[in-house]
Amino acid sequence: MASIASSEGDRTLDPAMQVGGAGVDVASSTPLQHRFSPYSWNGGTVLAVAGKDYCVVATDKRLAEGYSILSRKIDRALQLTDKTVIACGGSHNDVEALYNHLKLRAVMYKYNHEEDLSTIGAAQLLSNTLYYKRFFPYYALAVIAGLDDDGVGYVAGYDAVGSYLRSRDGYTANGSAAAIAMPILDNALGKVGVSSGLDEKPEYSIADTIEMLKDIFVTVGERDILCGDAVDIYAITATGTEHEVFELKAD
Amino acid sequence: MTGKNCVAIASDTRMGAQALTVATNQERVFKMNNKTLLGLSGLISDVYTVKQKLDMQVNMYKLRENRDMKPSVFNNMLSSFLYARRFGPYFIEPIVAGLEGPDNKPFISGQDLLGASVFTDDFVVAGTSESELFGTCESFYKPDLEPEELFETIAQCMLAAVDRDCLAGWGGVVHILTPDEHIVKHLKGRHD
Amino acid sequence: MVEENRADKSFPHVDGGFNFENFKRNVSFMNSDSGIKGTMPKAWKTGTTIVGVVFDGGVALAADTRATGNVIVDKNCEKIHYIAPNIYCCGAGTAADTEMTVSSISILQEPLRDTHDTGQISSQLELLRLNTAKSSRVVTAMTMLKRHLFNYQGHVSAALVLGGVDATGPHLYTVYPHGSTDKLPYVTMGSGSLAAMSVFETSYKDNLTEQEAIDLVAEAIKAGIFNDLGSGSNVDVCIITKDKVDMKRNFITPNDQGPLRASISKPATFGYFPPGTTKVVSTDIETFATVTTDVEMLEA
Repeated sequence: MASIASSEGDRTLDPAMQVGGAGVDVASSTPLQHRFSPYSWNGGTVLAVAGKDYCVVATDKRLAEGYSILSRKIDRALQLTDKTVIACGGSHNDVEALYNHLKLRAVMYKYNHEEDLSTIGAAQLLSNTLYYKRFFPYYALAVIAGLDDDGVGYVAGYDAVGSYLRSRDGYTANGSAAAIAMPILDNALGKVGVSSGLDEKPEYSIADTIEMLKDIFVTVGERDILCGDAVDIYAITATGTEHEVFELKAD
Repeated sequence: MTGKNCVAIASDTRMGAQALTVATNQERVFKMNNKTLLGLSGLISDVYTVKQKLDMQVNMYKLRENRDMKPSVFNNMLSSFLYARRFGPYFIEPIVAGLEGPDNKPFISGQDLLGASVFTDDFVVAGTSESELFGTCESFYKPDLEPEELFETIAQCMLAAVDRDCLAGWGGVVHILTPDEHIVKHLKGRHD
Repeated sequence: MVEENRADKSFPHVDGGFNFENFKRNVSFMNSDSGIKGTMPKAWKTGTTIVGVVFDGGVALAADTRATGNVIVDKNCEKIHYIAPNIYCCGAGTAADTEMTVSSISILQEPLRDTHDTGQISSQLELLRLNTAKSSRVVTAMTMLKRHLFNYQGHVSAALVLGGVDATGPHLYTVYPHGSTDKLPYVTMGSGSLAAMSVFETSYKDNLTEQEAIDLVAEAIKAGIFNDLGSGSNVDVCIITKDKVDMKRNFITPNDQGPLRASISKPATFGYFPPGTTKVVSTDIETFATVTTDVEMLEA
């Protein structure tokens, strides 16, 4: 396998060609170029579910690149305030840069206004921050979870350039295995425009929601190679945020 | 999906060219004989071509051997058929489901477009909603379901999955095969 | 019609050739801008960690059991294929290529003989054994494989670990997709080959006992399973000695999801679908006629 990759890659990856910079590939007569790719794809799956007076957000702890595991215990979630947690899949360098910026903005907000940034405010701030880099985006597939001003669970999902939507039915998925997890959440929790599941969707307690998210993460870990090792689960209520780690399979 | 002495294949009924929906009553699950169901996802012209070529082989087998082709034999035949076209494949992903032998043991298998088989004893999936289907089936499948329970489970897995795939949907159809019945149920789904 | 499809006769093991009837059509699909390319099905890869080691009196082969497409398509596939009673082969690469190049499951079906082609090495060895009345040699299988793969210039992407014991002793080869081969006392292949090789380079010694060899290859595969994302699930081991083959399917199962699921007390309504949950538009039932299957045996 290895020798195949190198024998095919020899022409384009020949270091002697690249160092010169202006080397010309004789075989295809195209100039070789230096390329720098600022993004990597480190995986990361985020699920969040909001209830009447709570919110749960869960994200896996595996940092992957290609076929390699770079870490089994990174934190993908940022506890921004007592009532707000942000979690992102994507390029982890961008995610960390984004978090550092948001942390600073949250602290500045507190100094200026003498109160915590609200979840809805944080959601708008995150959107603005992402859109500010519209033409060199942060590669961060974000989910924000928390309690809104009335103490009701708030969940919103983002694309990489800041378009966001508060979920009406109170759940969202983002990151590498969003496609695997989303229909499961639809079936269990979706109310509007969903053709599957029970006619009357039950109201789940915060404990039930946590268990349900664990089960969905076991499913995701079975099928998505980038997801595994462990899950960070943040349960947000009016009294504060509780954090728990749930172990997944390591393969 | 397998159940207790029964198997089922579910599919959506949309046929489209990328974003354009062309037909909303597309059948892509076929009964090859009383013990074998075949589901074909992919390019619809290839679905028909392959179905017809396989029909011929199945009929010739029956004439020659005076017995029905077993699902596992059918699977191997299909696999050889697809691999022969390794460098000019038909763009389909087949699923075979059937009942095997005198005690009607459930048999299911899936293949990629080149004929590589996967055999499982729970479920196989194929098509544009593959990821979504893996999620729902992995979460909701239970072993040894009776035909009625199996129908509910496979239908729910299918509907939930295609709701999140813009290339699939427009209702669904479930084929259930038991030792003495072939049941076809058309489902109500989202029309978008 | 059959004659027209035959490949170069100087490779006599290639009986016939692939069927290219769709080739031109597919090229024009790929070149069209209708966007059809984005929805084309994708061939499965085995990702894979496969290894082999020679020990005192035999060969040990081992493999993981994960196959990957866009997601994990098979959590417990078989990558150790039968070649001959005394020879087995682990395959990595495109799933269809490894399976069909190596395996014996697809001994030619009569109705497909006209269109079917592939040089099934194990089928050919079987015929060779019947013709010569001698047991197969590993080097024969290796030569057949490398000729087949070289013939297709790497387009049949099978990377193999071939092992067996014949009249001349135990042998272990790797065969690369372009047809080059190595003969070594310990080998690894696939996306997890580096992880597995690190175990071999740490712990390999000459003249291992059978048990030591089993433990070593299992440990190497586990390194692949846990450190390479393309490999996963279970460890299959195959021990070939002079007198017998011991296929240990699912020798270690370190990735059973059962305990994990059992530790979760999910709500009863999650994934619960009472009868009537699904809205049915129409139902058709075909009832099969009951046929008695009593057969009377005729006296000869």
